[in-house]
Amino acid sequence: MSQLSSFISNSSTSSVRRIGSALKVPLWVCIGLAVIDVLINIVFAYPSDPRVTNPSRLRLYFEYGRSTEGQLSRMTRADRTQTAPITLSGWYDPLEVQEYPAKSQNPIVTIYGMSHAVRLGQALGRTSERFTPRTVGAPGASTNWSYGAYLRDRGGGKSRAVVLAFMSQNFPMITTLSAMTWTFDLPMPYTSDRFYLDGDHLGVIHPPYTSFEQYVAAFSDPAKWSTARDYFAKYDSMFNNFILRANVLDRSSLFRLIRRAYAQRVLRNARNTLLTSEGFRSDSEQVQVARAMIHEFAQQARSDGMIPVIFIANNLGYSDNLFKALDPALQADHVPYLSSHTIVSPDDPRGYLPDSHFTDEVDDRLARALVKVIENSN
Amino acid sequence: MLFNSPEFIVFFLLVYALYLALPFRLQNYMLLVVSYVFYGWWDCRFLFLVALSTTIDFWVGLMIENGRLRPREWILPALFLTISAVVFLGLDPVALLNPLHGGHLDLGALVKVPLIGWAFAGILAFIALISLLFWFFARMAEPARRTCCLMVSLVTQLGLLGVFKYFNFFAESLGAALDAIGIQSSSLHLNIVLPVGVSFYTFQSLSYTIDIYRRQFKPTDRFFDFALFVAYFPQLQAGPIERARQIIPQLSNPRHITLDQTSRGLYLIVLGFFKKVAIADGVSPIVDQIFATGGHVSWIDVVIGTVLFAMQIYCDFSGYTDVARGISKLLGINLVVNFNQPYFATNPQDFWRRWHISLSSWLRDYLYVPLGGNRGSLAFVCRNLMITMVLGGLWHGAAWNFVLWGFYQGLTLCIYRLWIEQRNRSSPVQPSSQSRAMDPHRLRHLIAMAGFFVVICYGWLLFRAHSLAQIVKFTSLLVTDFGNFNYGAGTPRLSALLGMTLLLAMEVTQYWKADTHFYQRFPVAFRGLLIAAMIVVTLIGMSNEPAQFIYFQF
Repeated sequence: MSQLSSFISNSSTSSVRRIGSALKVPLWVCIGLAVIDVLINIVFAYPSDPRVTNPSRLRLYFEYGRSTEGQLSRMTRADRTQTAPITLSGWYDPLEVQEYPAKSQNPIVTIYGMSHAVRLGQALGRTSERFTPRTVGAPGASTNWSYGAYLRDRGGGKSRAVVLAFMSQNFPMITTLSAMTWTFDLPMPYTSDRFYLDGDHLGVIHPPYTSFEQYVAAFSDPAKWSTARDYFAKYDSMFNNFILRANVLDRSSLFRLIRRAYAQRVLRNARNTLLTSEGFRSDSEQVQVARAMIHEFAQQARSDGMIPVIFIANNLGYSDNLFKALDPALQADHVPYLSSHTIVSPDDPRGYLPDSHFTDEVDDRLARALVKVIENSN
Repeated sequence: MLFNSPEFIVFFLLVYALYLALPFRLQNYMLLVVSYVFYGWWDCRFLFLVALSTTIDFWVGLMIENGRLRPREWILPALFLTISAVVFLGLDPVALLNPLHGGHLDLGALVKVPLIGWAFAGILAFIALISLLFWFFARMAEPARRTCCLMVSLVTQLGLLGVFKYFNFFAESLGAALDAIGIQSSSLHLNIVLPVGVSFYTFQSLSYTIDIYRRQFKPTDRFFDFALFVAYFPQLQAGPIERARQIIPQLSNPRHITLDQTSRGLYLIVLGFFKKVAIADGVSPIVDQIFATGGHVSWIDVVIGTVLFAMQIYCDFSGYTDVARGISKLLGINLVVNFNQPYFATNPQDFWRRWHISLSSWLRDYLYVPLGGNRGSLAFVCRNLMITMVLGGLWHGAAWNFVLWGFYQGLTLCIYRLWIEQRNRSSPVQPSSQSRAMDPHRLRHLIAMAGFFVVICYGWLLFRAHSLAQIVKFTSLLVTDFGNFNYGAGTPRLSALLGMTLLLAMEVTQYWKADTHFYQRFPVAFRGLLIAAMIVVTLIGMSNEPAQFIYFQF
C-alpha cells in the first residue's frame, strides 16, 4: 500500500515537473515578447513633437499600426505653428493652390490631384515655355477630392486647360469622405466631397468639416467627434472602427503590428473587390462614379471655355487597368487624356521612385505629352 | 483556405478543441468533414474530384488484394460518391451561405436542378460501369486481375491530372506545332480551372494502390480512414506527399498526444509562419518586380531576382510543410520531413535528397526504379534520370519552362553521375561519417556548396521565368552583361532582411551541429527568446501584404 502511494506520488510529481518544465519555454517566449515590445517602444520611440516630419524609417515603421485617432492626437495641435504640417494639407477651405511665375502671358493649365499631379505641374513648369502651370493638390488625393476642389476653384484660375488626375492605387477610395479612413499608415485628416450616382447625374455628400480649424474643433470635442465619426461611418466606404478608434493596444508595438496587418487586409480586400484579373470591375460604384465624373467635368469645363484633360497615373504593378476602365467615358465625350502607360510601362520599376512617384525624367516626358494633348485639342 | 489567414486560425482552434473532446473514431469522422470544408473553402465543386479519386482507389486497393468487394465495402463508397456528386456539383454553396450574410435562403438558387439530375444519373452510370468492370476482373486469374485493377487506378488518377492540369498545355502545344508546319488548327483551349493540390492527392492516392500491387502494403477496409488519408487537411493542398504505410496505421489507431509532440508542433508552426510570412512574402514583391518587368533589366537585377526567388520558394514551400507538420503533430499524427537544408547540398544527388523529399522519393520509387533505375549502363541510367526529372518538372506545372527546368535537373544529375563514375574509376572515395566540425575538407566542402548553389539558382531562373523568351533574355544578360551593378528593383522588406539573417544563423547552426533538433539543446531562456524573435519578425512580415503559397498552383 505504501509502495503504491509512493508510486502515485512519484508519478504525479514527475508529471507536474514535466508540465512545469514544458511551460518554461512558453513563459520565456512571453517574457521575450514583452521585452522586445518594450525595447521597440523605447529604441524606436516616435518623436513627440508633431512638427518632426522625418523621423527614422524604423520609428515610422513601428508607428504605422497605431489607431488613426491615436496618430491624429499625436499630430494635431490647435496652433497652426505647432501642429504637424500634414494636418494642414488638403483642406478645401482654403484650397492649397500653387501658382507658378507667369511666362509672358502664357495660358494657364490648372491640374487638380494628388502629388503625382503636382509633380506633373512642376515638370510642366520646367519643360514648357507655352503654358504656365497652376496646381491644386492634396497629398494622396483621390479623384473625388480633386473633383470637389475643381468645383470649388471653378473659374478662379482663368485657365486655358484643366486637368483632373486619377491614380490606380487610390482609385478604390473615390467613394470616401476623408483620407484618414484609408491612409492607415500616416493618416491625413483632410476631407473630400463624396459623389454618388443619382440617376444620370452625380449627387454629392459634403464632409462634416472642410477646414483645419473646423477639424480641430471637432476632434477636440468628444461629442462633436462622435457625431463626425457617425457621419463617416454612414457615408465613407472605407470606414473601419477597429482601425480608427484609439485604445490601450496603441501602447504595444506588437499589437500595433497586428493592427497594421489587419488594416492591410482591409485595404487589400477593398482593392480586390474592385480590381480583378480582368481589370477594374465596370459594374462597381467606383468605376460608374468615375465615368460620370469625367462626363460632368468635361461638360462643365467646356461650358466655361476650358479644355478638359484627364490625367491617369498608372502605378507600378497596376498595368493600364485604370485607363481601360475609364476609356469608355473618355471616348463617349471625346475627352482629351494623358495616360502614363503610354510614356512608361507600369511594370518597369525604373520609371518609378521608391515612394511610387514617377522619376523626374518620366515626369518631364509626361509634361511634354500633356502639352501636345492640349495643343491638339485647341 | 490559406494557413496564413485569420479564417484558418479560427478554423483550426475549433477543430483542435473538438478533436481533444472527441473519442478516437469520431475524431477521424470529424477530421474528414473538416478536411472537406478546408478544401471546399476554395471551390467546393472540386471536392467531387477528391471523392472520386478516393472511392476508385479504395475499391482498387481491395480488388487487387482480395479480388472482390464485400457489400459494405461497395455500398458505403458508392453512397459517398453519389452524395458527393449531388452535393458538390448540384448545390450552390454561395446561396447556402446567404443567410449568414443577412440574406435569405433561396432554394431555387441553392439547388441547381438540371445539374443534380445530370450528376445523379451520371454517377449512377459510372458506378454501374465500374462495378461491371470489377465483376469482370474478379473472374480473371490473379496476376491479370491485379494488373487490370492497377490500370483502373492509374487511368483514373493520371486521367484527372491529364484533363485538369495538362489538357490545355498539350492542346496549345499541338496547335502551335501544327501552325508552325502550315496546318491551320482551330483553338482547342478549354476553360479548365486547375484544382488546388490535385498533383499532391492524386500522387498520394496512387502510391497506395501501387504499394498494394507490389504487396508492400495491405489495403484498409475502413473507407472513411482511407478517405481521410487522401483528404487529410494539413497536407492536402501542398503536401508532403505521404505514403499509406506511414499515415494509415496512424489514422487507424488511437493517437496519444504527448507534451513533447505538442511543443515540437508549436515550434514547427512558428517556424513555418516565420519562413512564409516574414521571408517568402517579404522578398516576393522584389522578385515579382524583376520577373514581371517589361523594361530595362541588368545583370545584377537578374542575379538578385534569382537568388531572392531561391529564398522565396524555399521559405514558401518548406514553410507550408513546417506548418502542416506542426498542425499534424498537435493532432498526434506525424508527417514526413520534406526538406532538409537543401541549399547546403554540394551536388545534384545530395540536393534531391534534401529538396521536396516526399516528391523525389515518390518519383524514385514509382518511376525511376520501375524504369530500371541504376541497373544498367551509364547511358541507360542517364536515360532513366532524364525521363524521371523531365516528368518531375512537368509535375510542377503545365508549361515549357517547367519541362526545361526538369531537363536541366536531369542534365545536372547525369553530369554528376558521369563525374562520379570517372572519379571512382581513378580513386574510389570512402564515405565519411565525421561531423561537419571535424571535417578536414571544410573549405572544399564550402566551395562545392557555394558553387552548387549557383547551379541551383540557374535552375530557379528557368522555373520562375514566365516565358521562353524571358529565359533567353535573362540567360544572355548573365553572360553578356556580367558585372553591371545598375540595380533597378527595390529592397526586400524589413521582415525579410531580419528573417533571412535569423534563418541563416539557425540553419548554419543546425548544419554545423548536424542536429535537426539543435534548438532543443539550447538553454530554455535562449530557446524562448529565439521563438519570441521569430514571432516578432513574423508580426513585422504580417503587417505587410500577404501572398498565396507558391506550391498551391502545382
